[in-house]
This record gives sequence, C-alpha cells and structure tokens, in this order.
Amino acid sequence: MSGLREVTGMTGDEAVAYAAKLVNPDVVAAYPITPQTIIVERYSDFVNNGEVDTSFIPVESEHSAMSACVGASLTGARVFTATASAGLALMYEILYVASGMRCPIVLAVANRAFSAPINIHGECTDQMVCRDASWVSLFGESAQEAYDETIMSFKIAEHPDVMLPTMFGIEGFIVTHALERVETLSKKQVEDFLPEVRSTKYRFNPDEIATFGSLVLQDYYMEIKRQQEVAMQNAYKVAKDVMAEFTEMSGRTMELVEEYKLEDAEYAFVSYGATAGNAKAVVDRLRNKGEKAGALKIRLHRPFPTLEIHEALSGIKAVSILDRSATFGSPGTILQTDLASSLYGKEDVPTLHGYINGLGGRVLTLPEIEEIYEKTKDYHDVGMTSTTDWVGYRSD
Amino acid sequence: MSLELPKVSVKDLQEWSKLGEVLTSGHRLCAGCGAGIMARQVTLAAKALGDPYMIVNATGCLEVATTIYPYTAWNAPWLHNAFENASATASGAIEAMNAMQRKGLMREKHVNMIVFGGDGGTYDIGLQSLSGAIERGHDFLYVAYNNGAYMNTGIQRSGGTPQGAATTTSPAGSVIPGKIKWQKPLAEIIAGHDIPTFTASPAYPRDLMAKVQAGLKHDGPAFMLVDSSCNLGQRYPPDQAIEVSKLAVKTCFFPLYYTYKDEWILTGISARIAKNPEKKLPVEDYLKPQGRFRHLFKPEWKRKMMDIQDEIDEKWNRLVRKASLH
Amino acid sequence: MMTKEAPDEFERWVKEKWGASKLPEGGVVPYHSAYGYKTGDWSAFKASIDKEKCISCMNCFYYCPDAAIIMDENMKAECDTTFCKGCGICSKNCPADAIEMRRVTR
Repeated sequence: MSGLREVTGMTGDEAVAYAAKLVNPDVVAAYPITPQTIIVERYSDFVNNGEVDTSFIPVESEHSAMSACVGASLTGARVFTATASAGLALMYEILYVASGMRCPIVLAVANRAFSAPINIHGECTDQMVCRDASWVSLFGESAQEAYDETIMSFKIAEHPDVMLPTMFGIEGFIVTHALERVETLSKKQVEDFLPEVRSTKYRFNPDEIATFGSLVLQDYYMEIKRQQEVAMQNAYKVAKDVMAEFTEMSGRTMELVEEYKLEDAEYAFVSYGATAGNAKAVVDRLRNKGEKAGALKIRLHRPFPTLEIHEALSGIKAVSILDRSATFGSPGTILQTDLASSLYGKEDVPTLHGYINGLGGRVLTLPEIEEIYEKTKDYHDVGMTSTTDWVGYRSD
Repeated sequence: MSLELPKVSVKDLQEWSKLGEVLTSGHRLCAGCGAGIMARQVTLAAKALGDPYMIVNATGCLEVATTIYPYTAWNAPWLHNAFENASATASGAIEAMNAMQRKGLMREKHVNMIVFGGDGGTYDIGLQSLSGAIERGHDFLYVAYNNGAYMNTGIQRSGGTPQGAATTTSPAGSVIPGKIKWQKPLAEIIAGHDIPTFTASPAYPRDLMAKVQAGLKHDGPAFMLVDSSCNLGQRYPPDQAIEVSKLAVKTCFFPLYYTYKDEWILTGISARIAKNPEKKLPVEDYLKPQGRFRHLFKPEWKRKMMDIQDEIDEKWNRLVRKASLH
Repeated sequence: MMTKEAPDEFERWVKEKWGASKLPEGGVVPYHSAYGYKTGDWSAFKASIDKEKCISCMNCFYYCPDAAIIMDENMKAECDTTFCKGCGICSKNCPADAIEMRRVTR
C-alpha cells in the first residue's frame, strides 16, 4: 500500500488517458468521437512526446478501430481503445469477434446517447446494449473510478481463465469532462500490479502455424461459444480477486458492488455510474430526515454479480432503480430486468421500481431523486411489486 | 520507374515447387476454382522470398472454403476477422508486432504481410478500410481477387462485376440485361493513392509471382488486382479457368500492368498487344465461353455487346497512352 | 503415391468429437489439418500424366487449384489422386499433351 499518495485534479477522460499511460499498452487504435476525444488526444500527446511506447493507429472508423485491436491482440499485444455511442454501435459487429476470438482488449466507453436525435451527452444505453456481447463490463462513478478501472480492466481481461475483452464506462461530460480529485498511482505500482507480458496460448505471429477465425458450422459453434460463458463465470471470481488486490495496492476500496448505509435500510436506490454518487448524497439527506435509506452501486455489470446483489438487498422492502439508459416497450429498465431475473423466486427480496432518467444527458437533480424515493414507497405501500417509470421529462 | 519487377524463369518455378505448399490440398474450393490457383501462386511467391509471411483474409470464398473447422488448409499463420476489415485487422497486427519488437517482446524480423480480399470484400464494403490502411502506410501487400460477384453468397453483383454480366441480383432479364453500370476502376483508384499497384492473372504465373515479390519487397503498402475465374458463377465447365483468364488479357478486358506514381508499364501479353495492336482479340471472344454473358449474344442485346467493345477499347487506349509516356 | 496426414492429436479431436472443455479456445486451429479431408472423393476423374511426354514446363503445377500435382525428383509431374478434384485444368493447359483426365473406377 502506498505511503504518501499523489493527488491531482483530472477530468474523467484525462484520468483514463493517464492511467493508460502507466499501463503503456503496445497498441492503441482509436477513432475520435465526442465525448471520448480527450482520451485519445491526451494519449496522442504521450505517444508523440515519447512518454509511452505504444503504436498508435489513427484508424478511419470505429469499426476499423476494433478490427485493428483484434488483429493486434491476437499477435499477443496489450491493446487499448476508447469510443462512445455511435462509435460503439459501429464497432458492434466486431465486439462479438473480439470476444469470440478471446482477445483481451480494454475499451473505455464515454457513455453517450444514441442518435436519433443526435445528442452528445451522457447516457449509458450505448454500453448497456453490449451486455450480450460476452465482454466484461464495468461502470465508473467518477474520474477516480475511471482511473482505477482502466488499470484493473487489463488485469481482469488478460487473466488466463478469462481472456475476454473488457469495457468500462463513464458518463459523457458528466464524468468525462468534469474536473475531480484523483489519487494517482506510480508507474512501478502499475507495473507490479499487471503481468509484464500478456500470457496467451496461441499467437498470430510469423513463427506459429495457426488458423484464427475459421468457419465453424453447426457441429462446433455452440462448444466454442460455451467456452465464453465459462470464461465469463470465471471473470466473476477474477474480478473479485483483482479488485481485492487493487484495494490492497491503492488503499481505495474497490468491490463488485458498493453498499452505502444498506445494513439497516428499508428502502434503497440501486444505480450505476455518476447517478450513484447523487444517490448516496440523497441517502444522507433522507437519513437526516429519519428515513432508513440506503444505496447500492453496481460496478461490475457483466458478469452480473447476482450473489452480492442478493445479499445486499435482502431485507430491503423496495428499491428505486435509477437507470440512465433507454429501452422501449420493455418489461422494465435494463438494470431492472437484470435484477428481476436474478432475484426472481428468491427469499426476502425487495419490490422493484425502475426509473428511466437522464436520457440525452439530462440532469437528475437531488430533489428529483428524493421524489423518486417517495414514489417508490407509495408503490410499495399499495402492493405493487414491479413498476417502471420515466422521470424528469415534460409531457405536455 | 522506381519499382523493379524481378525476372521469374521456368527454373525459378521449378525450384519453388520444392518449397512446400502454403495453401495445401484438402480445401473445399470448387473444382477448377481461380481463387485457389491465385492463392497458391501468391503464397508460393511469398514463400520463395525467404522471409516469414502472415496472411489476413477477408470473408469470402477463399476464406470460407479453406477453413471449415476443424480443418484448415493453410500451412501458415492465417487470420480471418470479418468481411470489410481485412486491411484494418492487418494494420493492427503489423503495428502490434512493431511495438512488441521495439519493446523486446518479440524478435526483430521483417514479416511479409499478405491480405486477401475478394471483389466483394474490396471494391465495396472493404474499400474504406483498404484506403485507410494505405493512407497510414502500413507495410503489406493487398491481393484482391476479382471473380466478378459476391460468389460465396450466391453470385450477387458487386462493384467489380463487369457491365452486362448476369448475376443473381443483376439477372439477364427481358428488360434489363445484366449489370447496368461498368465496374469500379479499382486498380486506378488504388494507384491514385501513390502506391505500387499491379494487375495480374493466374494464367501467367511468372508475371503474377514477379509482381507479388515486387509488392512484398516494397516498403509500405502495395496492391494487386487479380483476375480470378469462377466456373460456377461465371458459368463454364471447370477446366476453363485458365483459358478464360487468358482471353480476358488477350481481349484487353483485363490488361496486365503495374503502376507507381503515375508511371504505367504494361507487362506480358498486354505489352505485346500495345506494340502489335493486330494481336488484340475482340471482346466477344472473352464473353462467348461464359454463361454469364450468354444473353448478350441475342439479337436484341447486340447494341450492348458493341457498347462493351467500345468501352474496352476506350479504356485500353487510355492505358496505352499512359504507358507510352515512358 | 505419397500420402499426407494431419497430426495425431487432430485425429483424436475429430474421432472423439471434442467439446467445450477440450477444444482450443476461441475457435483457433493451432496447426494445419486439411490433409484429414480427402477431396479426391469428389470426382471420379483424375489426371493421368505420361511422364515421358512431360517437359517440366510447370504449367500444371501452378495451375492446379488444389496442389494435387506433385513434381517428382526428376521434375516430372504426377497427380495426387487423394486430393485431385478432376477439374481438368492441368490437362487442358499441358503444352505437351501429357495429361489425360481418366475416369477411375473403384
């Protein structure tokens, strides 16, 4: 554990870039898109000033970015990239190739709303819709978490039992462009934390005869896909271990979920990303008013930490799920659907109340979150077990 | 011309036959497939250079039929990612190896990177990633094998389909006889990127293999367009692959040349035809053996056939003019 | 005639029909394995080459899509019938008329 901690001010994007600098990946192939641009710009400064030893590939589209990352990763290189919204959507095809071919690529997502209408602000739908792509997926609440998750993602992705690409997201502008206090690590700490060389059994390189990317028909496809599910299940344990190690190394507590005043809580917020910070602030307000409020922050979204969530929420009467992602005609918000599935039929589980909010970067204010709290209590009192609402928009 | 083509003799061909195959027997390309012929010649030419080689392959006949899991006919490091991104994937692999060599994670060595793409994966969906990779200047040779349609998915038209050809999405109908527009001048487009650009036919292996070696020796991106016969999609018996490709060259439908920075040099039969124009065969000779052009021989489409001859003549004259500047 | 076989481990892979825990990860095939698939089965026709007539021009060798023409130690062509698909390109393009496509009966 570090003695004297270095503290500095950084925006979320900068934090990602500086953390990546310490990792010093072999290849970064990226395409600019607001609000990820600062990550790539800062990193380009490092490259051109010789502060990192990275081959920076300024690709001509996000699809090519992820394609180049796959090509690079299969040779055994450590690979990093970043994108947002439409860029993530454009590389969607290759996300499946990356995970299917077991490339431990790390992707920073500056969560941004999808078009149409075109909007450049913070919303987590872009990352949420990738939840089936067999990528390990994390969300970050702050510039500090962006910094920390950049480093942890490499260790999780490259673990021999995992070997899956990993993405972590921070909300566009709200976190990416907001200047916050960040405790930094030293190069030595990161070098000690991450393995020096990526372990990989098969490499695409001039000395080995191997075929990557065969056509696999009905007789073998499912087996190869099953391997990914096994890897995801391993990732759950690996992520826990990596976070525990990181906690030890940095002095900052990192866990799959973060519980805030949940021990004796009756009503809780469940959220992820920047909203989780606001949720904690509202919990304090409510506690001052005598309410038994608590909050649960989801850090690891895939693989879904069912066990931790069930434990954290047992005894809670009702939860308000604050979800900054859009889904339409759905039986619940995206996170709500995950929770409902994981808690269904289990003993001692809360009623679930989903709130789609903050689309297109709209701010969810603290008073609005308090209103949500009250609304959830009302729903619970009249016996509704599952509700979904949109909040914070004008209807007339 | 700053680019040199090595001389490939029959003795070389004999020596190289002892190297051992890169694309071996056991693949499931159709009997008589031009892509198979092309790929064997390209990879043997690369192997003959002595340096290690790696292959990135776009989705298409060549990729699908040679790697039906768990069988693979590639005796080489070979990577397939998706349809439109072979060039981007190769860019990543090349730069990764550069980085790892710099960092001492990999032994320093020069690798000949070959990227294969069909006309489907190059003219249309793959053009962006190819152009981007060229602009960034990675060291690779892109070999586009043009069989004139999306053959692997069932003979649909592509940007590389010649005018008048019948494909499943540009059929020879009673109102519209095959593909309406001419094919993209891909070699010229890529030549405009100021990189060595070659056209070749597997019917002339010494010419093709010399060009492969020149392209690989060149430091930076190079591009080769290969005329690839497809007996199934172009509709003729399986033993015709070489005959048809020879006619493509002899009728100037597919001239053989190479170009770099606005210098154009015709090679092989095309060079001879430029000197002796009477050797040029009418385009009809090329169209006749192919079922995909059969409809053009009906009286109602005679005009179409003449248009094609005019188009070929015009393109040939432009090419000869460019080549005669040197 | 020479035969070319895939590595032993691969034979077991196919015979035992390996599943998720045994297969190499990510669908990679870490060696060359096509010799296990004998495409000679596809056709009843095989190239029959008269070595006396062969002039070692190398046409058939470089024109065969399937690498089914092998040059012997005297640089004379022979047909690998285990893989020959009977397309007939070699026969069509032999300047010495040394190749005939013959129907092979089992």
